[in-house]
Amino acid sequence: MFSLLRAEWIKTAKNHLLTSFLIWILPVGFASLIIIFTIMGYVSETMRQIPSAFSTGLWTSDMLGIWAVVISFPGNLFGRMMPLAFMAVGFAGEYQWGTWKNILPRNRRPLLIASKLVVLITIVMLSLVLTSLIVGVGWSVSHHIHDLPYGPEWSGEVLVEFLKLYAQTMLIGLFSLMILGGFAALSAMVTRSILGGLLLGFFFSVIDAMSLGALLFLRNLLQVPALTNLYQYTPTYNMDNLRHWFIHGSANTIVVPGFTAVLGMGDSFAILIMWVIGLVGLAIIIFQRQDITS
Amino acid sequence: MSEKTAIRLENLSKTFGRGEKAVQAVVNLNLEIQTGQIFGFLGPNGAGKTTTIRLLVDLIRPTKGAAFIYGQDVRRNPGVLRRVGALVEDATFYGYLNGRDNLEVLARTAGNYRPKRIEALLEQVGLAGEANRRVSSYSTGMKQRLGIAGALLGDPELMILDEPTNGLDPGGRQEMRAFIRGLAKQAGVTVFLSSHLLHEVEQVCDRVAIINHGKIVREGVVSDLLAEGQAQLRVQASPQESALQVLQETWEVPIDGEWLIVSAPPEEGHLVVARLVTNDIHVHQVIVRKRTLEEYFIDATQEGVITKSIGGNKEDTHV
Repeated sequence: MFSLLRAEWIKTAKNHLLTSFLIWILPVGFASLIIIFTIMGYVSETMRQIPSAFSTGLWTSDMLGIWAVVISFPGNLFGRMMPLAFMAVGFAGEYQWGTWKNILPRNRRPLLIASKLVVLITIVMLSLVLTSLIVGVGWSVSHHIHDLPYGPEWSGEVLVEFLKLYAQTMLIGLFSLMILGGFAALSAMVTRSILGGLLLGFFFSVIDAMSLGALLFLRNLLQVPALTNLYQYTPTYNMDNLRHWFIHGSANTIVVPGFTAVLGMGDSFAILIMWVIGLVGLAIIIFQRQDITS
Repeated sequence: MSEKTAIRLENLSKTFGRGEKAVQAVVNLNLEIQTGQIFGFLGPNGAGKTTTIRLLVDLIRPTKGAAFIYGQDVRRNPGVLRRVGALVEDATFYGYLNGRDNLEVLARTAGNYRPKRIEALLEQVGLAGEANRRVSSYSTGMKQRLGIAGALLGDPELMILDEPTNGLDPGGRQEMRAFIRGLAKQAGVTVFLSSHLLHEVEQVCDRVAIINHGKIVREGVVSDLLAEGQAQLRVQASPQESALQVLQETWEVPIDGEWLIVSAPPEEGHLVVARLVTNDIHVHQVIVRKRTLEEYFIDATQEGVITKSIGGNKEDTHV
C-alpha cells in the first residue's frame, strides 16, 4: 500500500501545473495578499487599517476561517470548486492521458482508487493547514508591524482550546474532502474525461450545497411537507451539524418549514461515513467493471 | 493445460455496443501459444489485434469465451498477469514526469519497485541519458522504448507487445527486432507480438496467426505458411493471349501485367514450357518466385473467413 501511495504522490505532486493552479495558489495567494496589505499600510494612515478590515483580529478565528471554504454553506458552494477540480483532474486525467491501461492486473484497481483518494485529500489538507498557518502568522506579524491589536493572548488554555477546535474543524474538512473526492471519482469514472468529470463533479457538489433550497422548492411545488426533512441526510447538513455540536454542544436546528430533524453527533458521523463509503464504493465498482479502451 | 502453454484463447469474443450499433471486434478466437515462442499476431488496421490484446490482459471483458495465461483464466485469476509485461497500443505516460519517474510510478503501482532494475532497463533501451527529461519531450520512438522498459519492470515470463516498432526509424526497428529476439532466446521470455508489418513478423516470429475482421483466418509456423501455397511459376511468352489459352487448359493462370502466373508447382515448369513450345508460342522467361508473407497475408485477408492451421495441431476448417 505504501508503494502505491508513493506512486500516487509522485504522479500528483509532480504535476506542477495542476498543483500550482488549484492547490498552492491558496497559500501563495494568501501570503501575497498579507504582504501587499502590510506594505500598503506604510502608504497612509487609512491603508494602515487594511489588515484589520481583512482579518478578524483574532488569530484563532483567522486560522479556523480558512477551513470554512470547504465545510460550511454558503462558502462551500464555491470554496469546494478548487479542491474538487483538483481531484477530478487527478482521477479523470488517467483516462485522458491513457495511463489506466498500464495498470495490470484488474484487481489492483480498488487499491489504486483508494490510494489516489488518500493522496489527493492529503495534498488539499496540507494546503489548507499551510494556508491557515500563513494566515495566522502573517496577520499576526502584519498587525504587530502596524501596532494594531491582534489576539487572543497566548496561553496554555487558549492553545489547548484552539487545537481542540482546529482538530475538530480539520475532521469536518476531511469529511468534506472525502465526499468531494467521492464526487470527483464517480464523475471521472462515469464521464471518462477531465471536462466531463469537472462538470459532473461541480453539479453533484452544487446539488449538495443547494439541497435545502431545492427541497424547499419541491416541498412547495408538490405540497409534501415531509420533503424538507430529507435535508438531514445530505453531506452539507451533517457537516454543519457536526460543527454545531463541536462549537455549541447541540444539534443544528434549522428554522425552515417542515424541518424537524434533530441529529446527534454520532448520527451525523454515521451518515457522512455512509456517504463516503457509498460514493467511493460506487466509483470502485464502476471502475472495476469498466473496459479500459483508451 | 500445462505451463508449456503460455496463452490459450477459447472462443474469445468481444462485441462493443448493443443492438443495431453493436460491433463485433473479435469473434470466437481460438489460439494456443507455447512457452518460449515468439508468436506473431498479424492483421490489417482494425482487424481486432488490439482488442484481443486488451482481452488478454483483462483491460476489457469478453462478451463470450475466455483467455488463459499459464492455464489461468485472466478474469478469474488476474494475479497471473503479474507474470506478464505488456505494451498495449501506443506507450502512454505522464508527460510531465521524466522517464525515470514514470518507470518508478509503474514499478511502485505494480508493487515491484527496484531502483537498480530501473537504471538497468533505462540503459538497456538506450534511454539512460534521457531519463531526466520530461516524457512530453520524447519522440514516439523514445516513448515506445520506455514502454518496453516499463513492460520489463517485473521480469515477465510473457511479453505482450502491440505494434512495438510503431514510430521507430528503420535503425530503431532493427534494434527492436534484435531486442525481441534476444528476449526470447537469451531470457527465455515468450513473446506475443502484434504487428501489421509483415517483414517484421517474418523476421522475428516462429509462429503466426493472421486476424481479419475479428476472426483468425490463418495460423501456423511461418515457414509452413510460406510453403503452403506453392511457389509461383511466372512466365513471359508471346503472344500472351495464346499462351494464356493454352495454359488455362491445365492450370489456373492469373495475369500480372506481362507475366502469366501459373498455378503449377516449380517441378512442373518443364511441362509448362513444353506445352507452350509445342503450340508455337515463344517463351521469353520462366522464373520461380517464392511467395512472400506479404502476398500470403493479402491472400489470407482477402479470402474471407477460413480458419486453417498448418504445422500445428488443428484440423482444417472451411467456412
